[in-house]
Amino acid sequence: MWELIRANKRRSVALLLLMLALMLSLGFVIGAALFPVSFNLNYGDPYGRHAYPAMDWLSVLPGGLLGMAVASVIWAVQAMVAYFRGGAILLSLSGAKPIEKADHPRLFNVVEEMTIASSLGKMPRVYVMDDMAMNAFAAGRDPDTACVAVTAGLLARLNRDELQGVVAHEISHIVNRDVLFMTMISIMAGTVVMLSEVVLRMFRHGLHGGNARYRGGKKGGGGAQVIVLVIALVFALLAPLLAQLIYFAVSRKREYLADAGAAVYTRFPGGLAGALEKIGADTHQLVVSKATAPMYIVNPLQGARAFHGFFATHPPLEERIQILRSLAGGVSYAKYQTAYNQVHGKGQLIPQSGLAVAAAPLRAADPGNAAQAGASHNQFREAGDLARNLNGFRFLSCACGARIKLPPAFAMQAVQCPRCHAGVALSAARENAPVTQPSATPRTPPRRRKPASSSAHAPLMAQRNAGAWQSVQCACGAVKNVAPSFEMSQTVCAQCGREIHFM
Amino acid sequence: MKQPLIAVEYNGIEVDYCVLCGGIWLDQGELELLLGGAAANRFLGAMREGAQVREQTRRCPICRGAMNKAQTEATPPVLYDCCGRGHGLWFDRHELKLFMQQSAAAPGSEAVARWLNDLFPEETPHS
Repeated sequence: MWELIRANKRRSVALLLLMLALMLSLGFVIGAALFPVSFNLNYGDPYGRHAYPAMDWLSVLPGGLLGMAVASVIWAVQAMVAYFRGGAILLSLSGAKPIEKADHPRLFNVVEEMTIASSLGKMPRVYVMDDMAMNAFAAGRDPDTACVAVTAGLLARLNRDELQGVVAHEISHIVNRDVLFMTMISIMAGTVVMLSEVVLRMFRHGLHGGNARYRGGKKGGGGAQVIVLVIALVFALLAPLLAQLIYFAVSRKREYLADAGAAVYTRFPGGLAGALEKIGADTHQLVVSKATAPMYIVNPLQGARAFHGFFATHPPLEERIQILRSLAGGVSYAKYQTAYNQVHGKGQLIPQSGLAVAAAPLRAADPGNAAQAGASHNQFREAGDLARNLNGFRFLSCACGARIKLPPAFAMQAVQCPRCHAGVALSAARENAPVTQPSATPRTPPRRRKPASSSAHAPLMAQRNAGAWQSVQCACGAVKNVAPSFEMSQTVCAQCGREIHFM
Repeated sequence: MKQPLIAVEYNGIEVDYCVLCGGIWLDQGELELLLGGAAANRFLGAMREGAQVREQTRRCPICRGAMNKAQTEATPPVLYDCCGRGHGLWFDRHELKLFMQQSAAAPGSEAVARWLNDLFPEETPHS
């Protein structure tokens, strides 16, 4: 599918140039409106016999050029930021946080699996958003910097096959280099939207900012300036729309393509179809900005309802599901193309190199799904606790069987179990008899500022109650959360570097 | 000083609990776990009947919107707060006790009361 990669790179460059043109024109009109310079060409001619009324348009030039210069600098900075830091910005905008394998082994396992299936060079980093709505996106500029982010709600409600379908869809965005284009456009369109909002506010201020009668004898700029003002206004109104339009025009097809990729990688199109059904039926709504909304597997702003209009960033869900469900007797890009033509109508979706790949047999549904459906409580709890862990909750267990989860803002020192009224404390890691304390203290203090070496402190011992999130307080006062699937006998305090051993 | 609600999990269901006043928040998601999706919405819908009572307005811990007052049909009626957007129910401490004694306030409330009795055994009235 190398054509897709090449096309996405080409599109990214075209986008940059288009944005440059947009920014330059925007800069010109804004600059011209802000810094009008009047050329007095009738100098030395008090009677105005040789007036040059036609030269009035010249007054917009200096300001306009200045505006263009500023705009091109902004564009350059924007482009660099979007390219190098785009992924990180989008992740932090969405509130996604990186997780480790022990935090959610199933998700990691699925991402590893799909990395191999798609023969992606490097496993993308895994992020989780602490939201109970169901959604996912991928970001980054190439496979090396790529990451996949899913919401806790997705982890709570999807079975393994469905989760695999969603992850495969996102990985397929990475493989096709959609992420590069989507990251760039989200950042750049986002800035244009922001800029034009500023301009619009300025105009509202200027237009309604008092009566011209009381504004003093400031001379109006004449016809040319009024025209410039109008153009600036039009631009400010048009820019965000234009930016969105570019996005809309290109993003629907790549959603189909990513669905096709997911079907091929998982060899189980029913998984993604099931996931899309569940996401569509979900009533929770993810709060996202207009600029990043189209990145998600299902557009959070356009809702679960099928959104058919011209402005839809994603194809209607039913159609995507119908295409996936109608894949039978094996999966390949060619079969997806056929199904697409049956459901959607005419149109070439898959590039030639993709059509040539032979079909692979469908695999059976994961036998664990039924068991998992019975344990939906646990899965929901597991995802909720993961989200809480990301938000810095502390986890206590009472002897009566109740588990208490304290939000980070909870300031009280001791907690009484609401169930049995016994006092419950944070399980503290206690200092054991020094096992192998280095006998001779080094003469020079360690140069490293971060005390990462375990030899600096004697290891601490802590009780481990497996099977749930557990918080352990280190002697330095920091709290370490351990995931249910954490099976090792020791860990390290993130603050002081001390080893914590579990009994 | 105000404290955020803490979460208490028992038998796989969670309830949000105020350590200062002993009141509880029954979240919509948790009711869904306990009763199943459709039943939870039926329960929440039936529990949303308004009541004209003077009591300080409470705010929904999820959306911060003002919650409605509602009461059960049993005698004595149990007064509680419910979020107009269906995020969940709030019971003050004494309301919770009363609610646990009654049942059939709404479809599914028996299961909710049973579970609450499990979670707060010391509050359970001995019959």
